[in-house]
Amino acid sequence: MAKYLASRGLQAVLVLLGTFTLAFVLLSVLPSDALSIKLSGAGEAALSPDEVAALRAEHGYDDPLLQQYLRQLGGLLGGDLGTSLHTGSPVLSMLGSALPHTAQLAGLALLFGVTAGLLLGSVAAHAGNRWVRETLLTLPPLGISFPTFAVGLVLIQVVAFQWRALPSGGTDGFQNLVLPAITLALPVTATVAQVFHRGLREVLAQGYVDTAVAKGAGRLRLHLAHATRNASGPTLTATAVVVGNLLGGAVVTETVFSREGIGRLTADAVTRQDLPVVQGVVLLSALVFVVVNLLVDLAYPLLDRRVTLTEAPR
Amino acid sequence: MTTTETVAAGVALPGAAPATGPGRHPARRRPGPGVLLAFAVLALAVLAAFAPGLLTTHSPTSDDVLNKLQPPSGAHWFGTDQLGRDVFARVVHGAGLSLRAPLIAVGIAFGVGSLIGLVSGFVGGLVDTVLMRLVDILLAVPSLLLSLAIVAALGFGITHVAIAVGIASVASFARITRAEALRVRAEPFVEAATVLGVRRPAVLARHVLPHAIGPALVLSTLEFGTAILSVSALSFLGYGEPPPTPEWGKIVSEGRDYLATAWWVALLPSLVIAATVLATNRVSRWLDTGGTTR
Repeated sequence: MAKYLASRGLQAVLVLLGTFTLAFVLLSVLPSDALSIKLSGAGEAALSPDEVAALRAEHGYDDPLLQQYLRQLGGLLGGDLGTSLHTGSPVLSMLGSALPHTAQLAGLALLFGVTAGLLLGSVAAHAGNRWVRETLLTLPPLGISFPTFAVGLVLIQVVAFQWRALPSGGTDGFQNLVLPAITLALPVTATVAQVFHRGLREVLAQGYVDTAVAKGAGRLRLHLAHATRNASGPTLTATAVVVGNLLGGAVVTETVFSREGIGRLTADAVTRQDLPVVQGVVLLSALVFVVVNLLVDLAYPLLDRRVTLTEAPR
Repeated sequence: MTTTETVAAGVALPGAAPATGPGRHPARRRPGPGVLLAFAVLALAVLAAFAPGLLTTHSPTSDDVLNKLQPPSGAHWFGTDQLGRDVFARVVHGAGLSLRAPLIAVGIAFGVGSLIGLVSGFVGGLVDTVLMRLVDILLAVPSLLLSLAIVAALGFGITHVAIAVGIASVASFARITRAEALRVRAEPFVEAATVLGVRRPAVLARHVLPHAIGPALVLSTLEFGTAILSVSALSFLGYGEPPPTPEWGKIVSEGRDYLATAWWVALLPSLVIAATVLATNRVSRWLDTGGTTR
């Protein structure tokens, strides 16, 4: 177990290091560096070439790329993600103050999405009526075909403007959280419903289910004790991927609902080409991915006793 | 890594059954009404992209402030926006850019991803390890965030958006093609070609490639729908072409401010995006099952 954890931990660190390197290559080497993008912006055009050169030297953009890379990497290890080109404040503290808003949103969205997805998947698998079943099964493909912003705008138009039931945007309070969470939950629902339903169908076709029925197991027992348990493994794995995507979805959702958070921070940073902030968000998302996957892998044997944790291959 | 790998393969393509390889097509099933409808929607979208003049006579960019924010009517099917422009005309004329960008994106993802996957699976060893670690990294960042980061570095505009979305979806193509290349590499005819002295690159191009590319082709159709969504999201966020060029995502975001009084400006174009994606996914699923009776 300790060996497994050590190997997974090392793997996680490698993925993070890789993401950092990729982000560095993308953002620092591609067509121009962060500073010249900033300098090309409006208002700063008045700088003389000498001043530009002085600024470049001050920020270290004239150093060899390898030196820049190592300096940034050193900063990262010391918890320094650089400073925003726009506000001048440290990226880490910007991420830190935005994270709670997005964590609340993503948490509620995950709760909504997984609950609805499991319900939808199981009702579709167990419904006796063929029409009910077929209709339910058309919902997930429909759900992933709607752009996130469209879902958000429809909710705002109907729930906020016509029914006046909930506010159309804002950051504070639970009321402001509901509509964005539903918006963000939709792709989660669709994915979870599809994977869970497929898992249930596969399990229900197994021989041991027939055995259980022959021994007199009721529908409920069959569903809970046999099918759900065995179908939850793949669903858990699918959920892990969806959690990562929540951060991407938050960019659109927070923009549509005018909420503060990581997503909004990202959208603003991209608009201003504030590359250090963008790099910070990319690193954060990789960290989330790595942690969530580790948790899922650790949780897997609890759901399915046939799985034991061994040292990861390679 | 075991579970992560299954996820990556399983969830990157929702609903994708193990793809049928070439040469394994039993009797083709006639497409049902749903698939025919999907084809019809796509045909309309393609028509709009290539010959927008056939679908609407209104101009997508000429202002008519006296007629601003008119609800849908016989004269303006989707109503008019805050400048009095015909929304339907903007959607029709926006189809070109809004569909070309996803096409470029899928082209990049297919080309780069399949190449990585083929080489990785065929060559194996250290090359395989390095390339697949690279793919792991691409998978660790949500694709929308990855494409945002690339757009931030490249600058705005629909071509940059297309490139960004394309690079962000390279990973799934690499994964699926690598798996196929591994399978094909073990086939007797590849061994035969090698024994007969065919050079390695030629074996890869002439023998492995044609038999390993099928699943990636099917994936392209599925990814096209996803790419439409990604491109429209980036365009919605304002990273596409500057106004007044119509793009689907941008039309929606321009209509956002008038949602309370003129819902049609934002919502009817949204519906068009959803219909197009839905149609693409439907056709893709039909192709994925090989159009076969199973």
